[in-house]
Amino acid sequence: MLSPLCFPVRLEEDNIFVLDETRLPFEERYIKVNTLKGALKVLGEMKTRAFGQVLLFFYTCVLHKDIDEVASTFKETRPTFDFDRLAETLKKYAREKEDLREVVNRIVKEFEKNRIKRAKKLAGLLPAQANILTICNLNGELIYIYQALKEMGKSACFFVCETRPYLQGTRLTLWELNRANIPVRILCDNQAAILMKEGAVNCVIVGSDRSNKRGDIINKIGTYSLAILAKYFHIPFYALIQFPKDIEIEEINIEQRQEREVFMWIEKRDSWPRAIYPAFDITPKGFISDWIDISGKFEE
Amino acid sequence: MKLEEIKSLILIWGMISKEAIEQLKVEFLYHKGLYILVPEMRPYLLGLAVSKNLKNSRIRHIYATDNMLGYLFYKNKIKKTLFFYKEITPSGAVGICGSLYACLLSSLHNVPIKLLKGGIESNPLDKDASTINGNLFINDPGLAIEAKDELVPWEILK
Repeated sequence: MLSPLCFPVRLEEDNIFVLDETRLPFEERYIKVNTLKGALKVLGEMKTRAFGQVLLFFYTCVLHKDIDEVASTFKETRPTFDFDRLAETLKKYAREKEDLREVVNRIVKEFEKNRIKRAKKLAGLLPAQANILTICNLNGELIYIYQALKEMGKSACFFVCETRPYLQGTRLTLWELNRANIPVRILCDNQAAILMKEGAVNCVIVGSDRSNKRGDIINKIGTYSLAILAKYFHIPFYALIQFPKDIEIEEINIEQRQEREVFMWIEKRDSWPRAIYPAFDITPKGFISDWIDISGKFEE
Repeated sequence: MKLEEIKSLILIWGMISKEAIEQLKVEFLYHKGLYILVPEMRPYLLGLAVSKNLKNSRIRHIYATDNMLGYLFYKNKIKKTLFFYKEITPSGAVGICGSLYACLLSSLHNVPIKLLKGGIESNPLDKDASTINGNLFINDPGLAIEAKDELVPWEILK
């Protein structure tokens, strides 16, 4: 496997093993989960996210059986993500085939195939020397993009925003790219503008937790800033999306996490100031150059 | 604190001066729903020092990471930016790392930027994204982009 983050959650018999992303890059540790309650705990504590939460959802459904209950409780814990859509997919396939475990394995395999297809599609849009600015972590998908670029005779360097407060950019993306010997640099989130101005980056790639058919996306906090700055500097901004829905993006509840988490990785002091922590933000379609969806279909 | 509880914010970028703190104290007497927004200001974590100064002067403030600024502008929460510069040049104002990010986001959301001479910064533990609070997060610190002072052109500040 290219990176443990490509498949951060796996199912082995009646146990789910979740890569504890909060321990990376210091320790590669897996948490064993075999109940819905346990799954909700690791989800709430940010032990896994992005593609990991998709896998966790599917595998929890295999163990718990009640797909609707898993979807509603997962949604309570992580309101910004569209677990209902995953539940619909699962129920659709499960109607045709009885064994939920088999169904999930097939969906996961398909999902992975489509992630690689999506990476290839995006690589085709990037310049011969792609200096890519990115945020947070895309669970190995940047490695797929890099491989696709190489196959096309292109080269790339990734510029990763550290992504405060959890530092997913530093702890996950930089770590996985660096161990795969892919050229990478790390920056403070606020250095994005100066890098764009100096011409150090020539494209931006982000993921999305939610998207609608109009083209608006919700993604990790900081994404909107990159998008509006990229537009100002005439730099193409690409969004990787999955299952866009016919929804009003402003109506989606943006998860606001606990104040103390804003001070993540900073030594405890006598008292912290009051803080806010919206975990995601909204990027309207006008700031996005292109959308590449999970089916590999290119949407304009 | 939840975003819904906040009506108006004044964003501070750079090291706040003693004079500015005195001015803010007066302003706060007349605006009850107002908070100062103190961003983290990486890599230096200057926000913690600014917050301490504001706390000592009993000025209401809220802390956020730098990447939250865009969303706060988008939600129309920030009404004014106070840019504490280091130096004025014919091309613009020079400030700490991230000054272009903060000022450009203000300008693109039509939020007025007020220029003020910055205070004196203490010696920070962190020089770039390789560390936070002095703790190293990457094997090769050379992978971190050097944090430098940034010029904000006049066209953005007008």
